[in-house]
Amino acid sequence: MTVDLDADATGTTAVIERVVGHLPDVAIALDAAHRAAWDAVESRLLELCRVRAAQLIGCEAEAEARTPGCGLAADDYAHIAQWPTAACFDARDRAVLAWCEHYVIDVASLTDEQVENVKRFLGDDGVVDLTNAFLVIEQRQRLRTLWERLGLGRGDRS
Amino acid sequence: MSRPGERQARIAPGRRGNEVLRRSLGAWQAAVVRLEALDPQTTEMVRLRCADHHDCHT
Repeated sequence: MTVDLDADATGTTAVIERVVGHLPDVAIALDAAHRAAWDAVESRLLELCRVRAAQLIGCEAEAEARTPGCGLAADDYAHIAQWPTAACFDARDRAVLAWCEHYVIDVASLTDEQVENVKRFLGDDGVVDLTNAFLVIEQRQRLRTLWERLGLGRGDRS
Repeated sequence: MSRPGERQARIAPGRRGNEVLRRSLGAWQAAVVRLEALDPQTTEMVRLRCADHHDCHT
């Protein structure tokens, strides 16, 4: 399944372009990393992480957005915050979401057990890819959230 | 064999993941570090604080 990043459903790419578009080295490199992130990780898992991170960070636009073609159903989106008990998620989803939550809240205290649980489903390379991909996703959200609180990146101010 | 208190590697040696993603992530971080709006001392303080936050010992 291929996601459609050009649809810019979250609007974050447009915000980034408005704020750092005058720094093409940074803007182009971040866009390339973002595309590579979605190519490297199963889109369902990265979308679960993207939305859960947005809920925790307080990035409302990202939390409400839906990435076209990622394979999540409406019921999945509706229950992401209730992932430990929601029936629509399997053991692999839960392992990744547990890892994601801890990563967002306090990455330095991620436990060996949490990483092992993800490795059980994705393998060593999969954990590396998930970590690298999620770093891109999370930092885009944190940048957007901070910039918007500073009054930067809004369409009417470009 | 690791010593008591020594942290075990979580990822097997040689596992580096998707090369395109790894390289593009590195290119982005390098582009940010090359920016000149912040002075070198502040940039270094931010880098060290981020390393501490991420528990990155390299």
